[in-house]
Amino acid sequence: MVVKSIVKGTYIGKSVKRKHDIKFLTGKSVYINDIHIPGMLYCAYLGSPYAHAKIKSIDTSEALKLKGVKMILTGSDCVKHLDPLPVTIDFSKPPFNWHWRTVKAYPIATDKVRFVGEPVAAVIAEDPYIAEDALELIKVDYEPLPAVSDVRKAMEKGAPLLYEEWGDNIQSRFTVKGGNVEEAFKGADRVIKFRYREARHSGFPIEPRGCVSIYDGKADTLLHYSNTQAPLLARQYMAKALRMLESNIRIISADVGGGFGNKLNWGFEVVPALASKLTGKPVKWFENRRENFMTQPHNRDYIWEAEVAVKKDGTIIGYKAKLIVDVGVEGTNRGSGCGCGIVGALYSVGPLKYLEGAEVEVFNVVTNKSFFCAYRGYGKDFGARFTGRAFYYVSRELGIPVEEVIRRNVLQPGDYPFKTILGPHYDSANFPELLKKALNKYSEYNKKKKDIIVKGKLAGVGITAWVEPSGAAVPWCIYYGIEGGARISILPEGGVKIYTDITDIGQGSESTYAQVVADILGVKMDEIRVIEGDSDITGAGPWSSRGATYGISGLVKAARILRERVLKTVANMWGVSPDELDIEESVVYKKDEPSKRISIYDVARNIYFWPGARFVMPQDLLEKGETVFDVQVSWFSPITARDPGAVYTTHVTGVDVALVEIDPETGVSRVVEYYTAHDCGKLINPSVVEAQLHGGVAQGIGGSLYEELVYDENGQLLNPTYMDYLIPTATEVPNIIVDHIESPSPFTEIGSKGMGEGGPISAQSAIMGAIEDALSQYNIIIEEAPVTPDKLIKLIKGKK
Amino acid sequence: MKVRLIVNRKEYEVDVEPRALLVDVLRDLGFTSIHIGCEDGKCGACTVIMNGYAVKSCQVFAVQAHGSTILTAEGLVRDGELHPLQKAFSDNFAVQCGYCTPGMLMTAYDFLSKTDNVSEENVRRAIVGNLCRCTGYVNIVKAIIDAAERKKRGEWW
Amino acid sequence: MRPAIFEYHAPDTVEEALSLLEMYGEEAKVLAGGQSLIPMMKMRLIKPNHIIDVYKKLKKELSYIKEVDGKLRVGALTTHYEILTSDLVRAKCPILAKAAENIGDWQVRNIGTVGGSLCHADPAAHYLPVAVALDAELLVRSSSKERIVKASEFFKDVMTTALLPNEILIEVRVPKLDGYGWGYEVIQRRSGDYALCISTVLLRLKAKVCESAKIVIGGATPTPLEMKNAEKILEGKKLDEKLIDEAAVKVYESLARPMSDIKASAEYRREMAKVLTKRALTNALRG
Repeated sequence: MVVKSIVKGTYIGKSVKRKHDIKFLTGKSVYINDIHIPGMLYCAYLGSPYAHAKIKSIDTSEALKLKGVKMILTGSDCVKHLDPLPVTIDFSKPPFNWHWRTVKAYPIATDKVRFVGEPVAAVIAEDPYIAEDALELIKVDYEPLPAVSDVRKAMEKGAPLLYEEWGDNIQSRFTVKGGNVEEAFKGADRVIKFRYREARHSGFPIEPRGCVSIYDGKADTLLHYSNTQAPLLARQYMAKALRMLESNIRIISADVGGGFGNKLNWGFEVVPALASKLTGKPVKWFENRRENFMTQPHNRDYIWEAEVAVKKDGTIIGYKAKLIVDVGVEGTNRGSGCGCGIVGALYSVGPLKYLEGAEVEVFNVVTNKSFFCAYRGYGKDFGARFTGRAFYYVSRELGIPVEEVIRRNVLQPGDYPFKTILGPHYDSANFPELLKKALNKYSEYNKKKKDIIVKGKLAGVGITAWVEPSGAAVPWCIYYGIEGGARISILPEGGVKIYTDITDIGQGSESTYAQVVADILGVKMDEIRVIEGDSDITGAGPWSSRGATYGISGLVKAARILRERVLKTVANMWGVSPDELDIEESVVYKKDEPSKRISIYDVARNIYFWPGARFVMPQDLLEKGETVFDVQVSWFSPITARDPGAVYTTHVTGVDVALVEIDPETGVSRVVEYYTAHDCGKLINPSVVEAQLHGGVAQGIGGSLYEELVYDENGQLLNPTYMDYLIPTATEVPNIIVDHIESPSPFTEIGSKGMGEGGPISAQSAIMGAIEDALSQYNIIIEEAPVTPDKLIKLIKGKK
Repeated sequence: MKVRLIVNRKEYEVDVEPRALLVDVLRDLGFTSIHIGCEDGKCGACTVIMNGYAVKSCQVFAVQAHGSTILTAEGLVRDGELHPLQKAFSDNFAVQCGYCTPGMLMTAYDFLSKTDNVSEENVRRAIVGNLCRCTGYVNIVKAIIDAAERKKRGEWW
Repeated sequence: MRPAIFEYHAPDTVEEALSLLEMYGEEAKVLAGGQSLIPMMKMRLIKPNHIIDVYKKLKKELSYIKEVDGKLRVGALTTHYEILTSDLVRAKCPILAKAAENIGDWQVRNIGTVGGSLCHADPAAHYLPVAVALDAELLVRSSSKERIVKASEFFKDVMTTALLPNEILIEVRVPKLDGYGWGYEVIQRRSGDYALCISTVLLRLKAKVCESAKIVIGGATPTPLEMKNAEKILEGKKLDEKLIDEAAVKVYESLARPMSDIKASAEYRREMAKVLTKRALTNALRG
């Protein structure tokens, strides 16, 4: 598909201010905890204090006596009223037929708990204070079992088993491979081994998860407010669990206080819905932070063991690797995180041009910790870590500067579209241009590095080249256009409604989509209203950075059809050809006679009211029945259509540079400055993109230097607070500079590419490289993240 | 216990349990700009100005605040017009999901009212008690420095 | 998370507060700024039946910074913000202001109090080693009597002080630092976090000759630890880099069993005690 030219870029490409900021600045936003319905009850979960235990008995009698407590639900209530939580990702079926296991689970534990915080009861009370009081009165008799929190121990024979019927703790195991690995290794000049481990961490957005559930007993319908990113997906999931017709459930997203993938799980929202059904009252659940740390989706926590085959000029021609992922409890029915390992394996290919063979064996291992679901990156970062580290190992082994290793290995513009040996199909990129920009920064930072060293600290500069796949076309309703996903409607009394299934969770889609439609259709941006976040209308949600890929493409397709329909109609009204007309600022006008003009709303009025479509629209539109200014389309990735292995449609690329300073006596590292040369295809709103990258790089810095969930051998989470889990504050994140280039994607309607996961994907590789550069005098190699001062001092002392 | 609060220049009287947190009481009074993000007092999303000082309202019992004057983000707006600080946030793309924003505004407001020499360094230090996951703080810092300029120019209230 | 039910008292006078304490003793907790107490109550780590709010009505009476008889007297309810912005403190006992600067964050410093922090006695609190280094005197009062407790005797264990259940801290008395060089170095993971290790140094200097030295390590052990062996190396000598290094190494040797937790290992704290002491001493010598 050829990138179609864009109709006048009045808004596209400009950093248009976000319209909706005002509500956030003045308290007019409506987050889930702001929703208050008369008669509403509050749900509070009692979480297991043990990581692994049998539940022998539960006594709720004392708690039920407390004034204000309406009901207490336990596992047996779930078994009675609910279906087991539905499986969200299953590769055991054809055409995959992988070794892939799923289990039956309910939102409240029935006979066994398998992670600290797993709900064993739910109190429904008149206010949240009473609900908490009641939790303390519930008596649970546990029989503790040995827990396993270390992934390697979990893989050993004789390890405590989470699911006895499995006989081991391997949820899934599969291999991705392509090309000819043996040949590649035979032709190698060197084989380099390396390991890398990243600690468990996740997003923990400042707003925790919550919902307000209102069941209507007369109609057997459910109205469910949630701060989920994806109302549509939530609806499917809840329908199955609640044994309801999907069409009888409506899920509306409140304003979402940050998602990052952590709000794509709904196991905790099923019980409030059930409670609403049983009590006949609305029920709110709003988790506390401790609960959130223990039970929301976790991510990262993987180990790479790799062997890389290189030629003496530094080109990487093959590799064999193992990717071990600690997925916590088996959670395919709680969240879809088990796919991270797959994505990580597939995208270990990175931007490498000369691969002849590659093979990655992936193990998803269960342990007594919270389940896995998406967190910004979803395995794309695991893959990027692989290539990012490989560049440095190759550089050291062969004595070639790392930026040169990168330059020699990356794909060239002419190579695209490029089918990689493991399956991903790349659309477009321009690494030489990215490198050119990045290398300017690289030398600038190297000068700054010297200044820092003169003042007595250590400093290093790191660089990495990376790929961010975006816009996944994976199973389970990611297809774009379901339920009004891409729909545009011109209303006769003014205004254009655009329906998108991308919920705005802070990324600014509400504004950026309006920008695109404003330009394609020719309407004033202020007259556009974006409808999203309501499953009765739309809402599969933003994830996998699909917005500018699927979201935008669908709307562009609809806008083009609608534009054509408007022009054909006016052409018919005026007896001219549509080519003679144009639309600008919501007005259709004759190009060579601009005084001949009519507003699109007047045209709509002509059709819907007077004199009516039959006098105004052309014959062919009347006969086809396309007689309304309301177009809905579905959109599917053209490359995925041709190549089912092309799961991701678009690929953002970048080259990042980090300047890190280290105090060698205290081990404290600080990112002094960070730069990314970024290419997300056709840019719609540069400021929105930059803002996304700022936040993403901050998260990348978090994972590199600060963030880790610390579990002891009994599976107890030792840092379930913002005090002890170290999210970077304003003094830990430096200025982040973004440079843009645009290599439009041939696979989307205007060449745009979904973006947003860049920081977590790229930052760690650049930062680890910088740290190694800073410590080069000690020959220290970083094999584990986060790099804490404690670890760094140990490494330095060990070398002295 | 009876608690009297003057919030955004209006007087309110409520009857609460001693353990009622100020954040819950203010939110019940309709000031939903004040957000709950944690219980250990680290995230700062609940920050309000109480008796002239920015404090985390989730770390104050409403009964302690009896008789206090409180300012929230809703109260920065005057005659429907955004406060220069709010405008600075909007102009500098400092808002993404918005959850940390009101807390940031109140801390920034207090900081700017007490600091003559605003620098990037002391701005960053001032907002250490306000966690943000979306923005990486980059544009927030820009916005606060911009707001300081507006204050110098006399655009302030 | 929300606290358990309690009864609330807001006494109008110190005497009233003290008689409430007599009445309720161990069942009661004194509430000052609440920045340490309230999070613990919200997480239900403690569930006091009675809260005696001294902040509400006694702030005026117990919040002051004044010079009396050549020493500074700081009221227990003086906030960290008031301390760090006080011209008097910055001029006469700047190490106290430096400690206050590092506490928590902007909001915490606005309402948290020096008295609250000292009585909470978290091992990682910034004031603790400073109080010991300054030989601060803590004026403590009960319904029946008033007494002075030396800082070195005030901190007994993790979050445990010499304060009796019927006593309130009224004021902290610290010396003026004319003729002293001071140093205060701290390691925190993030700004505002609890310290992993603090080195507090006070040197009475006469032309680079150290007449007396105080080296107190905080954050590494349940209570602040005075490094007397390291102090002996410096006392009476003309200080130079070599001597400073020796003292720092002595600190490392003296700190036999520092705490180990998820924030830092024992070995790291020990190493930092050495590194920070060296830096603190270097600064003290300069200033």
